[in-house]
Amino acid sequence: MMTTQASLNRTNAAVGGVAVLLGLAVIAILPAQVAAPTLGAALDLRAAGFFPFLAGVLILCSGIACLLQLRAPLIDEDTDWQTGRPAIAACIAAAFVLVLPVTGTFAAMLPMMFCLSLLFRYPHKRIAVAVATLVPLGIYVLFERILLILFPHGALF
Amino acid sequence: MIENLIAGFAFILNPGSIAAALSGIVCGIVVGALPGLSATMAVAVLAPFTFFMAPEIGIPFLLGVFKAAIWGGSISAVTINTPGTAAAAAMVMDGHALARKGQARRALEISLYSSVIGDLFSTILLIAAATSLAAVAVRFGPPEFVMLYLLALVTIASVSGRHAPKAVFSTGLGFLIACIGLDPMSGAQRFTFGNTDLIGGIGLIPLLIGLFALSEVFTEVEKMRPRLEFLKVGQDEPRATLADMRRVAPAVARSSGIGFFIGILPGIGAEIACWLSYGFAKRQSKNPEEFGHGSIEGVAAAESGANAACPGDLVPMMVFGIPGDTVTAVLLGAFMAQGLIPGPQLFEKHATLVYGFFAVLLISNLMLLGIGYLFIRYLRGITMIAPGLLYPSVVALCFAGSFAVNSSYFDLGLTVIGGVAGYLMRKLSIPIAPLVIAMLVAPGLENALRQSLLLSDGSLAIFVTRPIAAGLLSVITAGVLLVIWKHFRSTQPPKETPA
Amino acid sequence: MKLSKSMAITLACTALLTPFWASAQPFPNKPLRLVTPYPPGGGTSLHASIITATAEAFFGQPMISVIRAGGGGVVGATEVMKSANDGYTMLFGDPTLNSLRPQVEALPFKIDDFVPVARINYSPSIFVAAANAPFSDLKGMVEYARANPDKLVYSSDNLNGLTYVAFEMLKKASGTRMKGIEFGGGGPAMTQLLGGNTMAYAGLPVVVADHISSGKVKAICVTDTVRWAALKNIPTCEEAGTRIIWHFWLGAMVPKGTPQDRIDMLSAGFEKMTKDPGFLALIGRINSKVDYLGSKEFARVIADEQKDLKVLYDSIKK
Repeated sequence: MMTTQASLNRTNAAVGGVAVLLGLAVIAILPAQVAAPTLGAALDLRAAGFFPFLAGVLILCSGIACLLQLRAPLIDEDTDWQTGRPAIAACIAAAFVLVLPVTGTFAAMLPMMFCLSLLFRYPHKRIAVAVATLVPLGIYVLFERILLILFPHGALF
Repeated sequence: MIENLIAGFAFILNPGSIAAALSGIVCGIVVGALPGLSATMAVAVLAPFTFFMAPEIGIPFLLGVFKAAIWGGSISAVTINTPGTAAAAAMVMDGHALARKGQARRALEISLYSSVIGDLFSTILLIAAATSLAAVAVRFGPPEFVMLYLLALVTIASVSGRHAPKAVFSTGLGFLIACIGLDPMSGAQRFTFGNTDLIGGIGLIPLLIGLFALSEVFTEVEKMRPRLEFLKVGQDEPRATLADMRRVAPAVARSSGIGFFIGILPGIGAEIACWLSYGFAKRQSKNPEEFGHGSIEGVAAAESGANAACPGDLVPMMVFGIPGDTVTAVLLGAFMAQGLIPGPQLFEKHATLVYGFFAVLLISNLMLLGIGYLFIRYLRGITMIAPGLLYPSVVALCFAGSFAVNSSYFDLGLTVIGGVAGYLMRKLSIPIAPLVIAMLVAPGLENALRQSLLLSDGSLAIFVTRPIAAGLLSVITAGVLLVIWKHFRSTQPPKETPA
Repeated sequence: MKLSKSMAITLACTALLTPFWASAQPFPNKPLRLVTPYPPGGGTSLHASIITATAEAFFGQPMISVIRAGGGGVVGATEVMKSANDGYTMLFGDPTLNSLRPQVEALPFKIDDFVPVARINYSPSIFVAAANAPFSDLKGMVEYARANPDKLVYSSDNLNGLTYVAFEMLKKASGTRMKGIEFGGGGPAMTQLLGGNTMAYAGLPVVVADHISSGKVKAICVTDTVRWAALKNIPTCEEAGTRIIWHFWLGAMVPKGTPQDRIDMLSAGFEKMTKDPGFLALIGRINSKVDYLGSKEFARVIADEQKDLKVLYDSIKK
């Protein structure tokens, strides 16, 4: 029987590394960020620093546990990473949020929705534009006219 | 009481009230189903409109919205893997898994029936025993709440999947996020880095919208699955059968009890009840391995637990005028704007009206059954919409809903971050449920812990000297020991059999 | 190209819907915003809903209630402070947010960042005791506290909140020490009192009145100069032996630098509204009342209040 050397479980490595760093960072900045003068003061259950400290410890321990399992076999984990398109989608979403104070919420929604349609390779561009116009219009009517919740308006709409 | 109830029915069975309840239910289902819009926001926004309506029109409308929105969240949870409301988060895993097996209709119908049963059970208890239950509920002090929150945390073990260290990481992240902001008891600013928006903390709903809905869009755009073909919508689509309902009956019964009990405690509501019910059902189930992969018991338990919490929420509100969460606070305001001051005097001064509302709760339950059934029949077609049109609309709605919660531009950024984080967590097999549960539980747990220690002057003995707290503590200890023992047994090597 | 044609149509529709012409009209020519810095459902947002529902007739433009909660009011207040001082955005403030906390906490805004426009009303606090508490009036309460320092446990709301300040005033005026536990709000605080976990609380009449009438809690005294109209047999704290005056007002504030004529217009609008029978009927329904003060009067009252609070807190800190 051929035994394969267990390969590096990259997921555990990534998560473990991030967790250890984050856990240490949380504990390190605790005195500055939580107004507990020293770390010892944070250990008082009644102090404002206790739960953040607990969170930091949990994250740190989980990171160490992950790193201890660097050779563990992958259990139904996703090994197929094609992050190109999700990254573009995330950029579209972020751009939308950054642009909307300038152009106005609904003016920014149209290009955002249209670009996402393109990303999903939707073939009928005219329908995509129509939907990208009607949905923000519908949201506008529902929120600003009926429910009276005002959205940021910029130069356009 | 029965005479009061009959008088209440007679009062409320008029076209105006029935129409109000009906439109409330329809609005509620729509709001609940749309990702980004939550039950809380809907009730909060619609309540001021009812100030100028007669109480027998305005209040039934709001009650209808409230109940129906909690169920409505499961529609999008099942069909597009994004919970419409926070209370539907527990059934996303199983509900959507069932949909991917071509059983969307079955999942939706089971969730509808379970929610109606759970709600009915709770409403009957509310009508029968509101006052005495409220008297019990107020005896729950901070030490008891600490135990309840710990119990909720323990259910994380049931939803961790097989990646225990990553579940702990997720929990820790949830705690950390919940700590950000202004600490109300000491006034300390925690992890705010001088940023005003962070002083308000990290909003749960905008983050949730990102973690579930936006990350789903990112995942779908990566995989580019063709027009959700596996979701067969047709004549031969499997439906919920009597056998199904018989199988989930024990889970529904237990979850309804848990949900109602959680609901009557001020401060905890449907969002936590759904997880407790789900976790408990998994522990008691004969097929626990199905949970997370399409278990109808999981769907039934989560849904009935969440819906049973709603009438429970009304108990402290109506009997003592104490709001348990934002929704009941808004309902309280709506009652007050009608001149009905909830509290001890409400039942005496406005008995007919109050029992009329009880009657409306019962009637709208049945209406939910009928309308929900129609919605299921005709709305499943959502899944047939091309991803290129569906998901951009979902994203637009999500951002709108996320902003509307607190009129906060900062929350939009949170949603994007939540989306990226949710996507990465799914790729790295870090379970999201522990983060959500931790975020829900941590603030309450921390406050209750500190209040308990203030009450006891720093002594931890308060948790064992108070009978209810001690009882809950033993339940938790037993549960934790059971979990550890089961884990230990399952990792033992099999016994050697003689050759 | 077909694509640019549909884009052009969309932009044309957008332009039609945007009222560019509005900027030439007199103030106000677009909707006003009243920002409530607390979550929905509380007394502040309830009053704000009633105000915004009836405001259009008195201001000429609709007034929209915006809820911007967080940090116990800090986030909403900061946002109003940073918004344009053109009179279109108002903060629905109260003494803890506008008079007290900027003095004693490190907040992103100062007291002077806001200009008072109009006070809508004020409520005193009512001190109450649990049904099984070992005292039934103010003298008994103070005696018990003197004999048992730090043993009288009371439900508080938040650090530097309404109830917190009421009890600090009591403790200072009577020279006693009591233990307060912050429960985060009137609802939870009341729950703990009803459940017997704490002995005392001080809350707005709208929160405690019903429980007093039904006998579930004992009324001690009212922190006002006159008795509360709906509960005439509760003495004022001064009548009961210790002078405590604590008015929790609700009022509209605008950011510093708003033109005075716009402030006056807004103030006049509120004055008309507080005299309107329809508005008063709604306010009466929620068991509240109206006590209008115009901009200058209001500013004077707040300035006095700020001085008193500073003195109180300085005496605590030592």
